[in-house]
This record gives sequence, structure tokens and C-alpha cells, in this order.
Amino acid sequence: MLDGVLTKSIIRRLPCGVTEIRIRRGRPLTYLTQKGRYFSDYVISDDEFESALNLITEHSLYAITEKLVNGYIPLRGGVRVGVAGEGVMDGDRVKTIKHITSLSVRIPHQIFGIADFLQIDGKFEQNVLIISPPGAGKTTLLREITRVLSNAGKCVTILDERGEISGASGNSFALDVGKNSDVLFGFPKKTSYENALRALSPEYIVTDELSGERDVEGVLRAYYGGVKVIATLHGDSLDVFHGEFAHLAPIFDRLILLSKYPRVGTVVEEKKR
Amino acid sequence: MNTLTILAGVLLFFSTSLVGLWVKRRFIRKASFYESYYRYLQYAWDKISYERMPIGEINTSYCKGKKDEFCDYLQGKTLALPLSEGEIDEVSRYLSAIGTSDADTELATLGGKCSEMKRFTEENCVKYRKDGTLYFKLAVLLGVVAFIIIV
Repeated sequence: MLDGVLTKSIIRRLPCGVTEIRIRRGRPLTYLTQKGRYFSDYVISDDEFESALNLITEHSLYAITEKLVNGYIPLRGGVRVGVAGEGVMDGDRVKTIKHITSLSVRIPHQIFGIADFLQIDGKFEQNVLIISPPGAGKTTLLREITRVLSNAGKCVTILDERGEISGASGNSFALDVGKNSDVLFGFPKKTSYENALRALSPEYIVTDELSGERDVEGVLRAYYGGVKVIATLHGDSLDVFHGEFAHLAPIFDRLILLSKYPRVGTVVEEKKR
Repeated sequence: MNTLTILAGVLLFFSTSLVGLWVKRRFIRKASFYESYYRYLQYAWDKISYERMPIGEINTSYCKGKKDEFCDYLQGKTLALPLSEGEIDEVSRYLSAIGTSDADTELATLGGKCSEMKRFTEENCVKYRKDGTLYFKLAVLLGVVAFIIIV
């Protein structure tokens, strides 16, 4: 998955089962596995960093500018690279990022069977919200729920803005999201709810990382349009329905709280409503 | 007048004509190279503007099914180009700069380069072809003159 995305000298130093890689200019290579975070003794030189950046951007900074201003670069196979550097402003708008100093490469995983506790079958009719801090396995569980729902015969539309759920790249998907799923990849959320409801007649809408009023508005439209929603949200407790998310409180039938301890994807709390 | 002299005259005639042909061909190749370069820049502008296609994909899709020297050059094949070193440097410098800036800047720069190349090809490519033909005719004429002098 990382061939042609990272330089060979970096790939060589990574163990199997790595889930996240941090490449920082002039600092040691860091990576995360199920067992924890490790600091390699390999220091990333400026040249190495530039080579990695060129590979990631495919020597085509213009192709990812819009994504870059949102702080990430989507790569094939659902790999997502978070970017830190200096923002270049054009009035109120971030035009691009320059002097990039850090790359955070997140590698998606597919773990079959982790949604078995939900007992999803063809009669499953619930709105589910998965809550956890970053890196606790929200998207992995969401992907598995999607796959199982879809294979159970539900018509699922995935709003996959960054290609993380399906591993979308061009017209193929690196990850299994089921046989009855449609993927809206690369669309901003505000457009994709509209497109999904109008054109794809889904029974379920699947969306990752709810944020902002647009998302809340989209979920409400889906809900009141008779479409079920499976979504994820950043948080560290089930008490998330305040502020902009207050309107979502009556919608979700099932809340699942995940933690990365003792291992990523641990369900620490579940609430049926 | 012996046979050897006639043979030398004929050889000289053919030699100068061949040189003329080579010069003509070089001018035509140069014109074709620049025309393809201009078409490539237009294609790249379209693909970046509407699809944000990465440069590697642009190069591959532009050259798909094409057999010209510009595509060979773009794909890194080593060959003797019909351009001077300065001209090759200029093309190479510009091509390697594509992809290093954000979309707005990239499109503005590429748009400017397209206009410049449009003017350049309009002004020079016809001239290159005419010059090529002229040099060929001159070379043939030189051959004839040399033949007459020798014989």
C-alpha cells in the first residue's frame, strides 16, 4: 500500500502492522502500531523529506491544493496524509500551505467481524453514532458496519469525502465496503448529502467525522427523509449532544464509545435509546 | 574529362544534397517538436483546470498512441533532439517547474506559457519549414555548381 507513496528508505524501517507514520523534517521517524508508538533512530533529512513530499504529491502540488488547505492529502488505498506547515492566506481564505514540516501518514485497516456485536441483518433499522478520540478505530468500525449492512442487502451510500472509508482511488476501492454500496468520493459533505438523497435513494447514509452545521443539517435532512444514518464523531464520552450537535440528540438509536485502551477499537460504553 | 572526375562530381553533388536533406529534416523535426510541445501545454492546462490531473498521468495520457520526438523526450528516452542545448535547457526547465505551485498559480503560469508558445509556433514553425526547404535547395544548387566546376 505504501509502495510509491513513501521513499524506500522509510518503508524499509517500518515494521508490519503499522497504522500511522510521522515524518518530520530533521526529526526521527515515528510510527504507531497496535502495541504503541515507536521512535526510530532514523532522522529524516531535508532531502528525504522533499522526496517523500514529492512522492505524496505526485510532483503535482496543484492537484491537491484544495485538499491541502484542509490539512490533508488523500492517497490511493484510503491512505491519508495530514500536513503541517505555514498557511498562505489570500484575504480570509487559506490559499495553500508552504514550508511543510510534518507529514502524518494514516493507513486504513479492515478488520472483519468487529461489528458482530451489533447483530446486523437484513432487518437492522437503527441510526448509529460511533464516538471516540482520534485514532481509536472509529473509521474501521464504520467501514465494517457498512460492509455488513451492505452485504445484508441494505442500500448504502457512503459519503467518503477523503476516500478513507472505501479506500477510493480513481474508479476502484481498496477496501471492502460491501456489494450494495455506492460511494460519493471527493465531494464536500455539503454537496454529497444532497446528491445522495436526490440521486441514489439510499436506505442508509454512512458518513465519517461529523463536524459543523452543514453535517448536522445533512444528517437531519436524511433522518427526516426516512434514511438511516451511521456516523462517527470525535469525543471521549457519550455526552456529545451539545452545541451544534444538540439537534442530533433524538436521532441516534445507538451510541457506541470507543477507546484505544487497552487496544484500539475497544468498545467502552454502548447505549441503546 | 575522365570518368573519375565525373564520379567525383556526382559524389559531391549527392553529398551536398544529402547534407541539405539532413538540414531540411532537422528544421522540420524542430518545428514538429515545438508544435507538439505547444499541444502538450494546452492539454496540460485543460487537464489541470478541469480534472486537477497529476502531471505523471497528464504525460502518460498525452503521449498515449503518439509517436513524436516531444513525447519521447517527455518519457525520458535519450535521443538527439533537433534543438540547441540552450533550447533544450529552456524546455526542460519549464517542464520540471510544472507541479511545484498551487492550482491558481499553476494555471496562470501555464496559460501564459501557452500564449507564448502559440505566438512562437505561429511565427517560427512555418519559418523553420521554409528555411529547411531553402537550405535543401541551396545545398542541391551548391552540388550542381560544384559538379559543373569539377567537371
